[in-house]
Amino acid sequence: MFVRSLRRSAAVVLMLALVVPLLAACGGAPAASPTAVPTDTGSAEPGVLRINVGSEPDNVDPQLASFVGEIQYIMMAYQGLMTFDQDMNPIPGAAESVEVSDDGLTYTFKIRPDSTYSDGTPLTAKNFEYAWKRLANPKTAGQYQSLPCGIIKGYSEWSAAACQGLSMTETMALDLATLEADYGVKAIDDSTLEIELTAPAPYFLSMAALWIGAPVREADVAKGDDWWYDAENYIGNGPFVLSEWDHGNKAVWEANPNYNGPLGPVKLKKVEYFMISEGQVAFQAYQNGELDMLGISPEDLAAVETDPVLSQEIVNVTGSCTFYFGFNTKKAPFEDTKVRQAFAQAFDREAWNRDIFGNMGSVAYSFIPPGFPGYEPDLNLWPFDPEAAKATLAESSYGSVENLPEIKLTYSASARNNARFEWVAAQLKTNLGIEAVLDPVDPTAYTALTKTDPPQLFNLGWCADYPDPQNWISLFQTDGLLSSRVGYSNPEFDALVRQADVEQDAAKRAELYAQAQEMLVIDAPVTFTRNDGGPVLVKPYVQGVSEETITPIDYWLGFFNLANVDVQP
Amino acid sequence: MTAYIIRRILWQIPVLLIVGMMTFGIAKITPGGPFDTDPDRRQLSPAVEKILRQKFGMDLPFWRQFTRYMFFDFVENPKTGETELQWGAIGGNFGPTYSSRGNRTVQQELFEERSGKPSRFYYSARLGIQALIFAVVLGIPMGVLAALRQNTIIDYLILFISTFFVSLSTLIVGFLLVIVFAVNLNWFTVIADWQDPIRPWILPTIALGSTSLGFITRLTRSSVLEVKRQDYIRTAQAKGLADQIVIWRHMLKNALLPVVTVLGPLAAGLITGTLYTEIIFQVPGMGNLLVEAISKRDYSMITSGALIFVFFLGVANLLVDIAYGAIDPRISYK
Repeated sequence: MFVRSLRRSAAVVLMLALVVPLLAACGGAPAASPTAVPTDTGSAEPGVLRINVGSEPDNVDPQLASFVGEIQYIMMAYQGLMTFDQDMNPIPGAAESVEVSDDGLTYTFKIRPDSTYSDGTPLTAKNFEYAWKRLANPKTAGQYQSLPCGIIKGYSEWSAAACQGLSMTETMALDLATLEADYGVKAIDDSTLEIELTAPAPYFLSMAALWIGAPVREADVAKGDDWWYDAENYIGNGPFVLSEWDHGNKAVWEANPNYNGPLGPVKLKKVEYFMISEGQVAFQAYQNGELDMLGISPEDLAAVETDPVLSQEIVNVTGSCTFYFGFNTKKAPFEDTKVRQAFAQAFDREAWNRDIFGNMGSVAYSFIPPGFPGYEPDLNLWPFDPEAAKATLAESSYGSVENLPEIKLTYSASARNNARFEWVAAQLKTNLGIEAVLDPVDPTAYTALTKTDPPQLFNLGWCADYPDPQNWISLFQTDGLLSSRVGYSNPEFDALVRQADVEQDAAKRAELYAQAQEMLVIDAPVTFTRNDGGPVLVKPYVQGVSEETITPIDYWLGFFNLANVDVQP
Repeated sequence: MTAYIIRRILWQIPVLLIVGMMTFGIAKITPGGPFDTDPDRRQLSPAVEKILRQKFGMDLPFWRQFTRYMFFDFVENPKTGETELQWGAIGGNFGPTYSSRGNRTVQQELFEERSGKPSRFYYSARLGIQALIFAVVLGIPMGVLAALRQNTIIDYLILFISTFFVSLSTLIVGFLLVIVFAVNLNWFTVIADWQDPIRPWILPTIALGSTSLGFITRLTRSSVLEVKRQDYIRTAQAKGLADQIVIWRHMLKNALLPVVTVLGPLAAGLITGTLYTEIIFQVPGMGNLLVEAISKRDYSMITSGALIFVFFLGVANLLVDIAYGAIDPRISYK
């Protein structure tokens, strides 16, 4: 008996010996305990930047792609006619200079002399002509094909399916050869590209910096539908060359020795993209010195801020998105401007950003985010004020909360969002006395819903394509991309935007957009809540990546500051 | 026996058809479509969406979409403009993936070996087989040992370890392994370097095999315990057979039947990709791709994933049934 119980206790000791270290390791993980932080430089190498891009892109064909993770590849390998400086102004990229005719209709780009692709073959204006034609060609049917509709001469006519809504069969029946010949993009000679517009569009220079005009080569494209899948076909004129693409695992970029654009000369020898989809794993990899930069998830923020090492590595970046609550003005009670305004006043944005997002990003009262041209820091017409909100509601046609129909708060379901929108419902309850019903919807179904049958009250965002107020404000014109979701239409607003879009005087144009933005905030078809952004971790040995040099449209942190970025462990 | 195998294989066909139809149908009736991703960014213009729907045949009636995917259809070749016969899944063509905008097909994504890089299927299958071997090679001896030494420290220890692994999800075991062996001990890197033929495989194999290991150990143990009490074992011992012979010839052969039974579904699950292990250890396999396909509404990928899983399940079950015949002389197939 005694022997037996002795054996039992020995077993218990053994079990404990086995479990305790595991449990200890378990507890150490999320808390990012300082003891778990190994030597600072890890396995870093001089001139090699290692970042996590999260996942494998689905398609990196410049004229088809649209997602950030895809653009991140395209802009490494290719450079458009223009690019951006650190203040997000469009500057010549592959072009050496650009001349705009007095009527604002003809853009003449001069390609940098002796430009070549990374493999040494010459890059000429013809390559750009091919790329811009490929973008417009109705057979391409890319995600961004509709972006230049009505801007480039002949674009809408040729790209009839994307711009005019013709069916593919109808489009194919058109005289496509003539439409192509009438298209306003022409290589005059090897170094001159001329693009004609239908109306003045000062933001066209920003558009010319986008991935959609990346000069892919006809010979590469001809290699097959998924020509872009092999690193050896993905030959561009950008600052880096894709030297290895281990799909689903990593992509390795080496500096392009032939790059002659404004983002160079590049100090980095190599950039490695890793595809770690789980944030916790990436966090461990960063702490283990296997990544040089990392975005922080809201869940990890507290641990990072209290960690003596990690807290020193925080760099704050501004985002390129604005989030908002959309009020479907076709559905009661939001057809009434006063009701919408009351909701705008009843929402405590400061608390929302502080308590729910840990102050990542910033509070938004207007549409265009900080750092972008057109940002209006003082446009704050609906500060948080529950009393004023109640008063505004009393002025509405409904008179009081009791008369309002049921308010349903529709959102994209996820563990995070469920908690977040509980909070929003509590806000409405406390500040206006409204019992909102929560309506979580599967994320993909939610997107479809906001396009086809926008709910009464929903949450969405808009992220910049390019840094110009036109990319924001114009979307709220009648039947615009965003106004159609809330059924917003204001002829005065439309007139202002139409005028601004073609105005060639920069100051006057900015003023018109400012007026339009104010009108949008007053009409409140949506109420803006916050901008994304927030802290990221950057190892101290990474040079040239700081709050001053990161732009919100960087394809990775510091991309438009490439010439100054280096890794020196 | 041959007739039995052929009959079993033929039975796979209706099973695959039904699974294909149900998966395809459920995917299609789920709200939202492949062009409804990332609501905070520019969406496809309705016109371009219309073109793409046409390109993927989404404008066709449901039955036609399904037969195009599953069997064949006459489709216009965009290059020549001629109408051609195009085989579906039964011809090995699982169709273009929606997420690649039709630039790549499901079979390319899953099975294509390109530029010397193995396919996603290779990664998932190799990892699954390794994990299975790990679980079987360690699990069966541990189970037998625990049963033979019932109520001793060895038994308790083995029981504890196996219960521990069965209770923990792969996700947690995976993270534990990363934290202990990669972060604290620095024996491995957190980021896997798949050019290395051995190193990156070790931790995911253990993580993926751990639950099965615990399961097989426990199953073997209880099965051996039950056999141990049988009269024929006592008879064998009574007639003076050596312990080794009793264990190997009489005990194990009978005790392993239930273990073999579970190996079939276990193998199919492990081989066709397992999400958490692949995510934590960045295995470029099928698991992650198939799960992502659901939120992307990549219909062809979703349905193909289900078909491939069912196919392997069928094959594994067939192998198990054949193995039965070898182990148990009472079972014979006609």
